[in-house]
Amino acid sequence: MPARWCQSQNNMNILICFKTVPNLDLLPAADFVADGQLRVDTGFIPAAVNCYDESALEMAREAAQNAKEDVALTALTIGGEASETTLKTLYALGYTHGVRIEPDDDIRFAPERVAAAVAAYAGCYPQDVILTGVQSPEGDNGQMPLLLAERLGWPCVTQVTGLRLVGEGMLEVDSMTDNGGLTQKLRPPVVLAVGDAPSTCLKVPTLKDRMQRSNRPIQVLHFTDFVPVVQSGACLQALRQRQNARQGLVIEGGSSRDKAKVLYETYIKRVLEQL
Amino acid sequence: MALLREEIVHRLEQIVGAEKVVTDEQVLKESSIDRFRKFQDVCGVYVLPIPAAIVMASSTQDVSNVLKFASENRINVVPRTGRSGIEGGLETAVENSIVLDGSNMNKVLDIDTYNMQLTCECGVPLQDIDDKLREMGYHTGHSPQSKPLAQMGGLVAVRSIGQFSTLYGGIEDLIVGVEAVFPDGRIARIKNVPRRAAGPDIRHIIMGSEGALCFITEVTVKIFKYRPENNRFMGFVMDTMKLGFEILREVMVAGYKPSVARLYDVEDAQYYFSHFAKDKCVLIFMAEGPAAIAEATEKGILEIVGRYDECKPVDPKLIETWFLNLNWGPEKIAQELEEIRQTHNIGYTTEVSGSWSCINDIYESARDRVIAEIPDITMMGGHSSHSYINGTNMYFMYYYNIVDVKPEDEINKYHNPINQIICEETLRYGGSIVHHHGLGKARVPWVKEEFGSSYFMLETLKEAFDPNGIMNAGTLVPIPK
Repeated sequence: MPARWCQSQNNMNILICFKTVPNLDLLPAADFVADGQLRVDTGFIPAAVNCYDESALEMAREAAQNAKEDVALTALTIGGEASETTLKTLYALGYTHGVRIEPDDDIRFAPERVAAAVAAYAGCYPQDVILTGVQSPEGDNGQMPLLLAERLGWPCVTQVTGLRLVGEGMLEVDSMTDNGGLTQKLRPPVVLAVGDAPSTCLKVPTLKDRMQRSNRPIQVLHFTDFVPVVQSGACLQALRQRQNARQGLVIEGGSSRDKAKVLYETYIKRVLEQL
Repeated sequence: MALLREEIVHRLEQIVGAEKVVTDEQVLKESSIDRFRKFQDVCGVYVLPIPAAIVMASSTQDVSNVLKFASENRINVVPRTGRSGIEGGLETAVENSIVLDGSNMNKVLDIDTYNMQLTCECGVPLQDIDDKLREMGYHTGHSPQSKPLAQMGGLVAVRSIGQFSTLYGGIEDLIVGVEAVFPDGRIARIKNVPRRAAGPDIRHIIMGSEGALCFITEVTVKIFKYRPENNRFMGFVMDTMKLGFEILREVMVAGYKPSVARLYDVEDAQYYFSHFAKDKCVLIFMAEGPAAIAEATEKGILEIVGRYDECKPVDPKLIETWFLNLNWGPEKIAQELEEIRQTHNIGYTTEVSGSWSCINDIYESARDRVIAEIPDITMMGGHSSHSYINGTNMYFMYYYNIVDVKPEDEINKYHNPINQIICEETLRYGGSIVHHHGLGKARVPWVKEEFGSSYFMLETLKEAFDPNGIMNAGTLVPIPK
C-alpha cells in the first residue's frame, strides 16, 4: 500500500485515467486471427492512447489551463513501461503527476479489476474529479467508469463532451443524453466518462517543453501491492472481427452531370418521396 | 490588353463547352493552392489570386485549344491532375489564371504485356492502374506515398519517385514515351522505344517540367512481373544515423538492389516504430523479384549488416506490417486536417539529396539549426528512403505548433524559414535541394544556387517553349520582376 498523500495544497485534484491500446486501424485483416488462448497478436502494430481517454486528457488539460483556481492534474495508466512515453508527453503538457500501475495479469477484459485499482489509488491519493474514457477498443464494454463510481460511491456522468471549472470548487459539465445535450453545474466528487467530445486530440508539446519537463519521475505502483482481489464477473468465450465494410457501387457515365442524374433518379428521388 | 475574368470564362465555354468550365467560388478558392498551404485551407483563408476558371479537359485537343487561347491572350495556366502537390506548384500566383485539370482524361489506352509497357491518359490514378495490373500479375514498380491520390501526368511532371525506387528507379527510369501539349497548342509525341541515341533525350524536357513548359496528356511506362510471394523484409535498430548511412552505402556499393532501403532517425522512428524501437534509429530493407534474386539479395544484405554488432535485427513481420500502412489516401489527409484544426500542430516535409560523403553532415546541420532557430518546434527528424551507388536522399520531417500568428502568415513564420535552413545547409555541402517533390514555388528562391552555371539552360528552355510566359508562373523559375 503506498503512503497516503499529504493533503494537497491545490483547490482541485483531478485524476485522468488513460489506456494505451493497439492501433487496430493498422492491423491487416489477415492478421486478425485468434490464437489458442483466444487472443489476437497485436505486437506487430504501434500503440496509441485510446481515443476517448485522449479526449479526457485534453479536456482536463484545457479546463485546468482556463481555471482561475489551482488545479493538480494526475494522469494514471495501468500498463507496461511503454505507457511511460505518454506520461512524459503529459508532463511536457503541464500535467502535475504521472502514475503507472504495473499490472499483474492481462486485465484488458476485467473492468472490475481496473475500477478497483483506480478506486484504490483514489483512496490513497484523494481526488475531486476522475475522468475516464467511456470505453476502449479492447473489451469495448463501457463498464469501468460506472463500476468505479459505484465502488467510490460517487455520481457518474456518462457521454461527457465538455468540462469547465467555474470557481468555488464547482464544475460545469456538458454531456449527451438520449434527449440531446445537457449542461449541469456539479459539485465534486464525481466520475466523468468522456464520450464523443468535439475536440479529441491532445495538444503537442514543443521539443523545448519536452526537454524541460519530461524527465520528472513517474510514480510506479504494482497492482498486487494495493489493489484488493476482485472476482471477474465475465469470461471471454469467443472472438470475431466485426465486419464494418459497406457495399459500394460505381456509377458509370459520361459527365458528372450524367452521373448525378443517375444518382438522383435511382436513389435520392426515392428517398425524398418517402419523406 | 488583358481579358477580363468574365471574358476568359465566356471564351473558355466557347472553346471546350460550358459543362467543362467550373466557376464555383469555393472550388476556385480551393484551387488557388495545394497542400503547401494546408493550414490556410484548414482555416478557410485563401490569400492568393483566385483563378478565373477551372477547365476539366477531356481530350488532348481540349488541352491544345485552351493553351493556344491562353498563349494568345497571355493568360497564366496552372496544369494539374491528382492535386497531391505539396510544394506550391499548383498555386495560382497570377490574377485570373486558368487551372487546366486533366483528371477526367482517365482512360487506360493499352496494356501491352508482351512488350511490358502500359499507355494511359494523364488523369489515370496510379493506384487504379497498379491495382488493375496486380490483378493481372504485373505492377508499375512505382509506389510513392501519394499513390492513392496521384495521377500519371502529375507524377511525370514532378519527377516522382516511389518506395521501390532502389530496384525500379524513379519515374525517369520507368517512362517509355510521352505526349505533351506546348503553349502554342502544338502536340508533341515521343515514341515508345527501349532506348535511342538520336540526340538528347527530349523526354527529360517534359519530365520534371512541373507544368511550366507544357501539359502532359499521355504517358507510357514500363511494367513488371508482380511476385509479392517472394518479398522478404528486414529490419534493424541502431543508435546513430551515421552508422545507418554507412551500412546503406555498403549495401549499395556491394551491388545489391533491394526494392526498399530506408533509414529512420530516432525522432521519425518514434512516429512509426515506437512499439519496437524506443530511442533508436531504424534501418529497413525489402528484397523482391524472382525468388532466387530476392533470396540472394536478402542473404547478401544480412551478411553486410551482420558485420555490425551495434545493429540489432528485429522481427521481419514488424516491417511487413508497417509497410502495409505506408501510403496516404484521402482518409489520412482528412484525418490530418482535422488534427491540425484541433491542435494547431502541423507537419511538413522537405526532401533533399547528397552524396555519401556529405549526407550525414546535411542531416545533422539542418536538423540542429532548425531546432535552435525555429520557434515552437515539436518534432524535427527524418529518413533516407531512396539510395543510389553514389549517395542517398534525406527526407526531413518537421512539426510545429502554430502560435500567435494569422493563418496566412504561418508559412512565413515557420515553413519558409525551415525550408531556407534545409536548402542553405544542403547547398553548403554540395547536395540537391529537391529530391522528388519538385521545386514548386516553395523552393524557387534557391533555384539559381541549385543549378549554378547551368541555370541559363533552364531559363533558355522556359523562354523557348513558353515565350509568352503563360505556363504555371512562379513554378520552376521565378516570376520576372
